[in-house]
Amino acid sequence: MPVDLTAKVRFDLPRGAVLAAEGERALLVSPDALAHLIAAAGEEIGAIVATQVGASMGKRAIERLGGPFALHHASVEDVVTALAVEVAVAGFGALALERWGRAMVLTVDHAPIEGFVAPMLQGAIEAATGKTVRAVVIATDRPMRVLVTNAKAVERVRAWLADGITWGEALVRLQPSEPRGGA
Amino acid sequence: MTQSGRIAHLEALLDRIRARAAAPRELHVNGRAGGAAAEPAAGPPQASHAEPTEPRDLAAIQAAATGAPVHAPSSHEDASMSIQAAATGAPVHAPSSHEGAPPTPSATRSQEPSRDEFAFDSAPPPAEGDAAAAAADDGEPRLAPSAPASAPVLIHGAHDAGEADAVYDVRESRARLVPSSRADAFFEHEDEADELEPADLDGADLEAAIPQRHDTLPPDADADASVEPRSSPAPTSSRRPIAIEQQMSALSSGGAPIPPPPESGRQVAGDDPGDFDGESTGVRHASSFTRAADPLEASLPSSTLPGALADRADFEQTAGVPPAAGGRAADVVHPRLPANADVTGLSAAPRFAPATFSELLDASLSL
Repeated sequence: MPVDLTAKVRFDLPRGAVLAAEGERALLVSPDALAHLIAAAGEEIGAIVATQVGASMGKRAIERLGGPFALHHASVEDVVTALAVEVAVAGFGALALERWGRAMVLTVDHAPIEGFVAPMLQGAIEAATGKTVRAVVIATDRPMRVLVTNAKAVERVRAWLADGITWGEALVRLQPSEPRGGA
Repeated sequence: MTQSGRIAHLEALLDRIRARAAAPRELHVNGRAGGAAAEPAAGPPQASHAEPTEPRDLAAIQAAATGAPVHAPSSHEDASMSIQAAATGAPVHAPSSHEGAPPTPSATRSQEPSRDEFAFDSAPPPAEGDAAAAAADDGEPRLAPSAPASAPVLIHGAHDAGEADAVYDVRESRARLVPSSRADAFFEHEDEADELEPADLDGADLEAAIPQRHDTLPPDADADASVEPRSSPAPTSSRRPIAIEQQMSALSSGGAPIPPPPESGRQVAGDDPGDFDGESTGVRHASSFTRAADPLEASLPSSTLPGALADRADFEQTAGVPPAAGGRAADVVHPRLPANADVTGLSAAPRFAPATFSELLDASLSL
């Protein structure tokens, strides 16, 4: 899918505004200031803010792909590309996708605020697909790895990671015991 | 000289040659290892022989040049001149019992004792029964070998030169190394041979009875019975005498030299396949060994086993195994196994390959 960034971000200097796509206003905020704000507001508030930021990204991605129906039949590469463009334009890092067996793992490199990544991606995917998902950070080294799965699986993975199990082993344990047929 | 006189002279010459050939000779074949092989002559030759054996000398030169086993006559000075003592480095000009024998045009080539053909007379001792030859050689200076008889000898040949050059070297060496008195004796025999030219002979029978000097054919059975060599039976061995003219013409025309005659007693396959005895030849046995080895080599090519192991590793990696701990994604190599693969113990590995993002998301949500 070609990526067209024409007029993706416009700087309206007479009005003193930064306009995202569809005329949506955006702010150029220092990451450190945003991090302090999220830290002060608490993890739950920070997750809500990040989810809202991600949701706007998801909406713009689905518009880029041509709507919800197109996104449902879009390939993995096209959806990831659309999401990566939105994340990169917003300045939250470089997005990619890894598939470990049946698990979807999104990676974000150069993320300015680590605690902002997982809820942001969760909001973006939910907004783009309309499905309820949960995202959990399983690796904080570069790139950050975020597992996108259901709430129950997220709890299991968190428990394994708390027990000292590596994220790779956690993904192995997360796989179904018996091979299933092709999806 | 009358015809009867010439015949008597020829017979006398033949007697000398027989006596010389029948004399036991101590043969020394010394290789680089210093080994010596002293073999007496097996017996008198089957036919008279007096003419210098240039073909065999040439074979010796060629064999020395190519490093092949020595197949050289022992009874000729040309071959002796090509021998050099390795210990001293000095040339060994060993005369032989046949040295100085007059080249008789009427003599015919025939079967030679095989032992003599592989030997060099580096130190010919006085042998019994060689009285005639000794009488013929009396007064002739000999070139004594500069190395002991047991010393290893080195066969020199035209290593770098062409075959034709080797032939010319032989000629030049003969002219250079033969002592003057001996050369005189040689040329006296040459003159004597010239006297035997059938110019003054009357009758075509006698002219035909005396073969030419370099005649390579055995005497015909219907030739003149008065000439003893022609009455000799044809050689029974498969040895092929080769004339020097053939060698010279082959070398001068740039063609391959005529190979030296084979050893006595060796079976030579004939042109007719029906005459070929495949049961008793080494060549046939060698080919049978080759046939036995071919199926083994063809059944197990060298790359069969590693390739099979590599395929097995691919199966193990992709048979629905979850990603390894700490590694990268496991979808690196995926063999596309058919769903109805009828392989014992190996079922079709379920392969998860989502075509859309929604499929992958659903799979991840179902964990």
